[in-house]
Amino acid sequence: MNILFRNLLRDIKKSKGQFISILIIVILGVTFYTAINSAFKNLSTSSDKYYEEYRLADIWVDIYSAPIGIKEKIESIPNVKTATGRIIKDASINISEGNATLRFITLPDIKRDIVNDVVIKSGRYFSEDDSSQCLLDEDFFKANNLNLGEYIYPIINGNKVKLKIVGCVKSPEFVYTLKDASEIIADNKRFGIVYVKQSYGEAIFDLNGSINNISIQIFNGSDVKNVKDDVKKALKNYGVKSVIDRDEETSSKMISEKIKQLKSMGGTFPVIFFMVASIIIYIMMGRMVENQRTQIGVLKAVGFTNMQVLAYYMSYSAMIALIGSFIGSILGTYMGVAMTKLYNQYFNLPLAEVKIYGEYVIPAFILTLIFCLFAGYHSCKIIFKIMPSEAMRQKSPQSGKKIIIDEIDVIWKNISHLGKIILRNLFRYKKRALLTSLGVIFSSAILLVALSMGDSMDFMIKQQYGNIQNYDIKVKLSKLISIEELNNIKNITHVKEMEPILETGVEISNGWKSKTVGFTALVKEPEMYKVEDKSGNAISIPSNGVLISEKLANTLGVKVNDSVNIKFYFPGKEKKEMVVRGIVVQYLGLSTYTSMDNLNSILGEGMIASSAVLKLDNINFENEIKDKLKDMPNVTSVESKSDSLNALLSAMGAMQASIGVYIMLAAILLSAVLYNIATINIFERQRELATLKVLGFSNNEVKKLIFNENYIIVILGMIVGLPFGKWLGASLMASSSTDAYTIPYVVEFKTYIIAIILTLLFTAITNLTLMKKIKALDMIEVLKNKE
Amino acid sequence: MKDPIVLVKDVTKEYTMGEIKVKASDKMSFEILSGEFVVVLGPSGSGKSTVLNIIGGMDRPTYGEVFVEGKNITKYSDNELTMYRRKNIGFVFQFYNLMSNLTALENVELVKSLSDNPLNAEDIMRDVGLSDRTSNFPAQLSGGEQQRVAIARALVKNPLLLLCDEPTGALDYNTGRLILKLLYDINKNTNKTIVVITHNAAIAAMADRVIRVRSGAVESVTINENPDPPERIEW
Repeated sequence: MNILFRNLLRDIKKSKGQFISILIIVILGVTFYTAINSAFKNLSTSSDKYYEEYRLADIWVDIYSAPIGIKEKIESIPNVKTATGRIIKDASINISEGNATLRFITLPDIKRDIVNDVVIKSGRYFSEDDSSQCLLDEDFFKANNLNLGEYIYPIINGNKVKLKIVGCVKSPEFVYTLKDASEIIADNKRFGIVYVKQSYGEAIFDLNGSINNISIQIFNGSDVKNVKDDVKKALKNYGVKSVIDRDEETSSKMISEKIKQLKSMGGTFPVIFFMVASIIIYIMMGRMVENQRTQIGVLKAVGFTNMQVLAYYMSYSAMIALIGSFIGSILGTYMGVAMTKLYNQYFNLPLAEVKIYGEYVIPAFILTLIFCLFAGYHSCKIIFKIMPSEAMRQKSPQSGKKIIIDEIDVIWKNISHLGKIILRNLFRYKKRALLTSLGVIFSSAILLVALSMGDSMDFMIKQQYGNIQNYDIKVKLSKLISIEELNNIKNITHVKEMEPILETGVEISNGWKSKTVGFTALVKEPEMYKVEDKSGNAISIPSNGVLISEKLANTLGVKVNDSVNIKFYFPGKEKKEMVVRGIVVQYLGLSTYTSMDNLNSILGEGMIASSAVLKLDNINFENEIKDKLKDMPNVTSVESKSDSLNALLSAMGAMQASIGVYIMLAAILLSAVLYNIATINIFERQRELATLKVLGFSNNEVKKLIFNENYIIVILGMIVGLPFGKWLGASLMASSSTDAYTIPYVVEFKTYIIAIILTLLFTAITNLTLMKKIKALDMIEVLKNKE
Repeated sequence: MKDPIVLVKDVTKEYTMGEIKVKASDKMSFEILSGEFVVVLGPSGSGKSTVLNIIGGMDRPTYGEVFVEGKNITKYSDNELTMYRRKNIGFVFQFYNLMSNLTALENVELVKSLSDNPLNAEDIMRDVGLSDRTSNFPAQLSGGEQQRVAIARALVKNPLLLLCDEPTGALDYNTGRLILKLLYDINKNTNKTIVVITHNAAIAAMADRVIRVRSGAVESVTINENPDPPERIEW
């Protein structure tokens, strides 16, 4: 077997290009498999460890206010391990020539272990003497280039306060610093967390001896839902705004969703590569066995067993699998480390050390081996049927056949002779053409998915910031105020229009299905904060009943004219039954809409608002007006449309990069498949090609025979691949949609054109590399021998 | 005396095989006159195919020159050689080398499209006796029939030279004789210059000019004043 193996190595050396191109595909598959999985493992272990060490809460409770002592009452609930009470309030701040929102969270005056503890990254915890010390969240600290010992000046209820930065911290509950679930991208310059002493918080927010948030840790294995219900009951009289668990908390939800996506990507994506590699191996080895019939006959004649001959040929595919997974796992491990770090820029998990997980190398090896050997076996099993005597004799000539198009005289007469050769050849090797086009289908589908990702984001931005959020500035107020009081905002010069909005949280339910969502009350015919139906028409707000988003309707299983129960967190308000009047599209967040009149009649509090949206007569005054608003009493935060749009656009930079990676992968897949098939094609038909050359056809004419076949396969592949890509993209988008955002799947017409042009371009480039092979065909050498 | 249509002058072809240089032909010189039926006779490895390939524009000599109609084709570039083959040369191979995906007639028409003054494809098919097999694929034809298609394909572009490399080598005795007869008739009826390469000495009897080669050199050139028609040849 040793000498045979040497023979195999020489065969490989002769067709290096093919061997290498299959190898590249296998390597890519293994690399991605190991890299994605080890990144997944690193991130999930890190987050688990982090949560454990710094006691991430299992349950968060938002209340209007309760005495500090309520903590003991909560801790007496069965299965509750420990609870921490704190004050959480948002305020605004002028920093780095802009406006930012700061979330104030109180910590014990003297350091002790609490739920949702902080990690001191630099500096120190509060000292006893000075009350106006603060700890800043690291991301905000860094994004705004702050230093320890400096002062910051947040505005609380219209008053500027002075706080000294004594430390820089991270917390497990703000791994991902999002203001709320409706934000998609963390903007660390515009939103941050500031930790102050409990005593200081009580004083500055007028909450003497009180708290408005409780974080609860429960015992391992106990049922979160039961504890949540018990907590709600226990806090009934304090105005429970929301009770959420880790599945709902913005940061931890975001992280577990992202990690989950990574895991599913790690499973499906490499499989495409393994499949394409198997296809090429199958076709290639099938040809190899066919071309070496005589050799197989000789081997059998001298006494090698079927199994030995089979093993000899299959060792070709085994070699690809072994070398491929060896190189792939080395690359993958390194890439896994890089990927973990890359993802972590976005997660901000404290990575103790990025580990190499050997456990993913073994399955990668096995998976590759299975794919390669499976393909190898199926192309080689014909060896069993080859009779030595027969195989050593001359093969009967290949037969040409008439094809269907032959029958249609009008068409056939107008096809050139070279065209006829191409068509008949394609029909003769139908299976091969179909398998090749499978590679093209995958490649063009990946390409379309990549390109349409951009379309979908563009569409969402256009809809969200062009049609739905039609305002220039949104002002959030620190408390509910009557609409009349909003007039001093409206009276600011250059404010053209103003609409009041009331935003609160509710629990909406239909039978046992329930969901905590935002509840937004708007004016009857909103101009600046519109709601639209599926086809983009503005809907007027019902004066009784609610509008809900499509996703929420699906979650609750309700349709138009069904009733839902809505529970407000305002103290003393009971569940209300309301009729769903319409379904609206909503890309960001998960919300319920009603009119202000309706809400007034339900709550009986008069016309009140929690925020307002403004339109300016001249956008140049945006900053000036933002400054004025910030100085007004009751204003918590001021956010312009351009702020949130810019944050979204900057995050799209990362997406552009991943689009680039996808396009590259599609190009590699396509080139590898076409290169291999065409190489086989050229080898098999070298006699024909050489004859054409002798007859006086130029290289440019001869190449058409091979290249045009490639183009036909590519075009046929695209006919299936592009719709398949559209389907794939739609299901990818659907599965990546969360409560925070739903990205509509859109493919622009021009994207199809770009995908087609790129695919043809990749084909043309591959053809260029094949030109060398055609030029090198030696007429004399080829024609001298009978094959 | 007529001007030679082909003049081969001191043609040497060297191949480098690993470390050693092998001479396939060594200072070979001969001439061919227009309208002649020429047989190049020699055992295998004598360099007869090499020189035919050079005359046919498929290869270049290492040293020496070849003039066809007074033009030195050894100076031609690759593209010029392609055009030279396209316009001037009709090739017939031992193993026919037909396009398996084209019918007999389509094979002929394929080449017809290359020529500036082609002959009628159907006429040629009739001349080679294949009028009723035009729509058959090569795999459906016998060896002799395939070689007839190959000859028709070579003739259809009305070439200056018809070069045949062991045209009967893969055929049985009777079929081989029929093919030789066909070539002989073409030469006599159309006055086309035909060069046949063979190791079969019996065929020499039907040639106007016999060039014997051995070990890469011309051994002798015989002019046959009264060539035998192929019917009288036996081997």
